[in-house]
Amino acid sequence: MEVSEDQKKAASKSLQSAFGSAICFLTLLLIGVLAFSIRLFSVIKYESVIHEFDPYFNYRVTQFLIKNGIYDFWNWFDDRTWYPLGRVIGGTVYPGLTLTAGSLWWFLNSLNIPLSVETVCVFTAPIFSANASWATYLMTKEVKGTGAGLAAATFLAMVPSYISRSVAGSYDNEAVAIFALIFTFYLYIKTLNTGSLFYATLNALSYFYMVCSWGGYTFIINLIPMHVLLCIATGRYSSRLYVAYAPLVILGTLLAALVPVVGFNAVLTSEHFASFLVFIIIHVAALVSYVKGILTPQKFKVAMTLVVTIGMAVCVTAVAVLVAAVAASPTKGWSGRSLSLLDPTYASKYIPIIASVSEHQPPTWPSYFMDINVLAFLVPAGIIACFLPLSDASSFMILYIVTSAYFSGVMVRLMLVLAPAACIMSGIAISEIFHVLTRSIKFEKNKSSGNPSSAGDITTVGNSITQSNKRKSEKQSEDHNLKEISYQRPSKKSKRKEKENSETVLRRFKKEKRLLVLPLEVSIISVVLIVLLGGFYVRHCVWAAAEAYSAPSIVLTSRSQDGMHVFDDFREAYSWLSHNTDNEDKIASWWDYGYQTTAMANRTVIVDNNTWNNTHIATVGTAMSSPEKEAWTIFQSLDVKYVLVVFGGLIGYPSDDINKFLWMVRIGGGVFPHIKEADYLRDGQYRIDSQATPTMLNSLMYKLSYYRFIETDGKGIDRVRGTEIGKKYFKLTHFEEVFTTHHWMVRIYKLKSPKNRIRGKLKKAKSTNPTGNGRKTRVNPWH
Amino acid sequence: MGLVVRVGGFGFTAKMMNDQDLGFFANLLGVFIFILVIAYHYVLADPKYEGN
Repeated sequence: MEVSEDQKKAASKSLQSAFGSAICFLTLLLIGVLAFSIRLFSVIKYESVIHEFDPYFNYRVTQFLIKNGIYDFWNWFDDRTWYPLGRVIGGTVYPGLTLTAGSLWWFLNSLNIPLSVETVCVFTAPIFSANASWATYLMTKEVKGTGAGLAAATFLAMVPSYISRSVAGSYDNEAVAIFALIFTFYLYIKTLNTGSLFYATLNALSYFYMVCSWGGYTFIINLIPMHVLLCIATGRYSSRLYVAYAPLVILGTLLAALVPVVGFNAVLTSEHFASFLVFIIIHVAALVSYVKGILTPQKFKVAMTLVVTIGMAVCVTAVAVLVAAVAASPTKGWSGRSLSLLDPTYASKYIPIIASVSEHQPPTWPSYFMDINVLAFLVPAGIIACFLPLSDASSFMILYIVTSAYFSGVMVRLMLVLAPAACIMSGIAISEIFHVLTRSIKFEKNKSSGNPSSAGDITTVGNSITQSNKRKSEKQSEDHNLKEISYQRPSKKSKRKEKENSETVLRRFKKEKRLLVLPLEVSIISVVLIVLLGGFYVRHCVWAAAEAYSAPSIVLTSRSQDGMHVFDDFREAYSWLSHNTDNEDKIASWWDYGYQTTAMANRTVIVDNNTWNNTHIATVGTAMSSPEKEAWTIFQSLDVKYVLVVFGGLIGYPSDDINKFLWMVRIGGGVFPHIKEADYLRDGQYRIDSQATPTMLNSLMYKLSYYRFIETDGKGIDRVRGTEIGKKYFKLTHFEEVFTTHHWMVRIYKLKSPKNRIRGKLKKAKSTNPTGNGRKTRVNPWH
Repeated sequence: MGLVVRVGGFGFTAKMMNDQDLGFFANLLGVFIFILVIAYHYVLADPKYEGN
């Protein structure tokens, strides 16, 4: 009888497990479908087109890679940008995204699936979003089990913060980098849990892929050492920790140095020093652990005192050498971007280009609710769940959420790094809730059905359950306890011994644990309410994907009583440039439009979105801020033929150059002191109406934006600034208008040729000059 | 917004999915996945061995 009972239980258990696996597989499949399909709104509402600005550069680079091969790509010097400086593409681009899409295109073409490069680039991000969801499942499974993994993957598939950077068409580094980030963290935790050198090696390779993909890899190489330090400091050092960390530092650094854009920065910049410092510390901890094992406690104390004394002296010397090495650098070895993260006020004080980028601004409080919605208040519950019980993996998750929450508060674009952590924490919280509720429902169902096999078990613990219901004490699930115990095993060789120990501990847990069971009605209502909460989250995510984050930026739309209007002025302008200018003509514009101009118009630009040369950008900013003649001189010195400005005053497009103009003034004034911001402000206010300063009204940007604007409505009302312009009737002396798009959004001007003969005035000026050398002291360097 | 496409020569017309259809599909799939997750927890919940 007993044997058949055990067989029945075993059969039931295996059936349960098989059914659970089937549901798990189906859920993961549907999560992948959801992650892909929710990102297709931009393709359905607009078209299959590359979005924004940076993706156009990535698209152009991918085209080059596919056309010319990888060796030409590594050695590519691009002379069509940053004229006359050029740009070394191979050494300044993170190649991960390009190589991934290129490999995908090559693979599909080898299967005779002739997709265009543009199509592959457009759909790379949704594909990798599905991969990122599966990676989140794997990572959360290592932390808290399969149920939490499924919940976390569901959240990540739809979280608006991630959707904003991975819609179809958003062909940017983050599209693949977030997948690489999560997968690297998963492999780190997997190595931490298993102590396997195989996973450690995979971890290093995954880190290499992350380094290839995004500059945000510095987050990984600082977070993991922080976690290792935390484990050592809290007495959780183990050989698994060593296997998880040491190979990553050595292999990872060597592989990172192979990426041209990183190169020797992997060992020279301060972003990487934490990993080396912790590498030393973990060896010290390992040595201490070993010595402690072989010495008696008294001898160990003596040895420790001696070692600490000598060690302190060595450490102080080493730190002094390090400080001296980095003190020579004004930024102490940190890059500008890293410093602006560590000190949120740094960029606004010292690097106006970083401060001027809208996605580098701190987020507002509502943007947290917009980008992570319901997860914002599930995260604290997840943090608490990670403490119950605390494991190496869950302590890593706590560190991840805390650091990413801080950085997301510094820059709105780093909400993207917070999103996976928030999803994992929320998944853990939701899974814990479901554990209690589903267990309660099953327990109450078994009780009411009078199941004999379960009744015996129930009566034996009936008292404790009753007591727990009254006291509502904390609950521990068997899975979690077993998992906690298994992750504390030091190595596979002592598995049997550890198993005996774990069983002893488990028995102790069984005696001490209390079961939290809720009444059936409460459980069912709670499940319904949580499904409703989930429904709100799904609805918000779908709305955000459809309405907020699907716009391609290159094409604008508006709805009115007449229907929908499409503003395709940008492509109209680039197309005009492509068909009406010579191949070698240089185009000057603010850096925002550089990538699009080179990719779509195929023309050489002066500055672009890479913003690597502040002086060159300041030169263009100074030209835009100067009067017509001075601006013409500056552009003439740069061989510029055409100037492009974006103007939104006719249709009410707010992201135009007039709204960005103050940044041009600040950046220009940062390098050329004769440009002063105060000259463009009236009583501290930025104005373009009749109260605007003469400097503002005479600036090139003002003139090129408002030239002939009075002809549109007879009054010259700027719909963005909401006022009549100050200077309505004027002529251009050094520029001529060659093209204005249908809605006046993009205006292109040609530089007039220099005059052929010297005029009489200049001869008179030379003859009246007392010094006779024809020169006078000037502040403006172009005079 | 949608597009009517004639497919084949037998008078069969297929309407391409528009953004509202995709929105409905995504909402339905999202809630269904949520329910599947709950179902997974229910299947694997085992109160007999917990707390005994």
